[in-house]
Amino acid sequence: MNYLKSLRMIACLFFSGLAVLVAGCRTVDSTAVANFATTVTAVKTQADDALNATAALTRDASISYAAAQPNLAEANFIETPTGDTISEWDGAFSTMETYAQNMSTLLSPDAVKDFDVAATNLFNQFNETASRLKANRINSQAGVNALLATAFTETAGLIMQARQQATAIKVARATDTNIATICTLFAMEIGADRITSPGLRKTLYETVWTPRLASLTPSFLAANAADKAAICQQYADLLSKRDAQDQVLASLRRSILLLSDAHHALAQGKPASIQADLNVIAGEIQHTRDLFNQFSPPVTPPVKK
Amino acid sequence: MPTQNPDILAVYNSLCAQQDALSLAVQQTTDPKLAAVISTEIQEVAHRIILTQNLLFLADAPKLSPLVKNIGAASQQLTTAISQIQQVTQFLNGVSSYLSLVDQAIDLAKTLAAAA
Repeated sequence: MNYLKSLRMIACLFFSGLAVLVAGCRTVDSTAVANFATTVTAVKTQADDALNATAALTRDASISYAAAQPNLAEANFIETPTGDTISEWDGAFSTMETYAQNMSTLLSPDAVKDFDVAATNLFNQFNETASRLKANRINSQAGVNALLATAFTETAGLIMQARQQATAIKVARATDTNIATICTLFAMEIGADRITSPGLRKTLYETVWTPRLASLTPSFLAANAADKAAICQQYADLLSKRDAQDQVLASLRRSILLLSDAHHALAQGKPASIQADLNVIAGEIQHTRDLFNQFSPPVTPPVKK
Repeated sequence: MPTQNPDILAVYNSLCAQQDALSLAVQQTTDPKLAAVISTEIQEVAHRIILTQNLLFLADAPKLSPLVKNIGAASQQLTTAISQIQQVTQFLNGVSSYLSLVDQAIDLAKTLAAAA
């Protein structure tokens, strides 16, 4: 798929650029870099949780759809985002995570020695990504492995080159556009809202919550007064869950865009701005955890009268 | 910068618009049988929205464009059918024709995605 290819290419570009950034990061504020690394890890976890929850909800919707069909067919069981897409997101975040962690390592007094360890870790990261793609037959596309191998070689060259030439700020500025592009792509996948913007938020609204809410209407119309009250309670619960689920994705989107802002502040040498962005991300992640606590197993539609 | 496929996006937006119209219709009806019919069709449309969500970033494919035009025409007919939803047979025929065209586009898009 073009999207997946593009994501890989962007990830490779980002990775190559960050390789240069690492080499020069001894001039970057150490606390800001360490906090940036920690935050990348936290957002990766936030993304995994939010995307897997989204996939589970749409999977449940497809099970309801399949149960209403005259025949039992594998094609009826679908979900979004797919496992491939979640895997690509995870891989991109892992790349950022590994690099950010290595960036912190480079700030140690023994930085020259650690640089070699960091470089090895980066090489391993590429190898692991390539192996995963080779093992994934669905994702297997002509040229992907060659693309990764080329990116691997180029990155290795950039790391070695940058050790002697680059400064942190210069390279961060050079890589900033790539980072912003990755984050924007993630944000586009999620969607700016659930009403007008195509993306996961709108898809969940239309495919999970609209059918669940609609399924209550026939029972409501046929029910007595007491049963109607119970159905209305179910309806209200669904509305609350719908809003909470949407906020999980909205929060993830904000975190990703703030991560982009934080890197931009890093590139501009503004540690105070970095910390401000990271503090807001921490709040978003806590908000997501709180919202997850509102989730319980899907509401079972009432028995039809 | 990768962008969403305009043809798939058009199908996605069309499906979501019809879904919204069906959602409104089911909330307005007082007939439990009609509500059950609409609810079933909402589930059918939802299935196609999930499928198109997964194809949104497909590379541009000119072969899709003629199918999308047909979907647009069928969508207008379905909109009319929903506005006269008490005529259930006409409504069901409208949904069936519309989703049949959507399925053709989705099948072609999936084939193109697999060949990419």
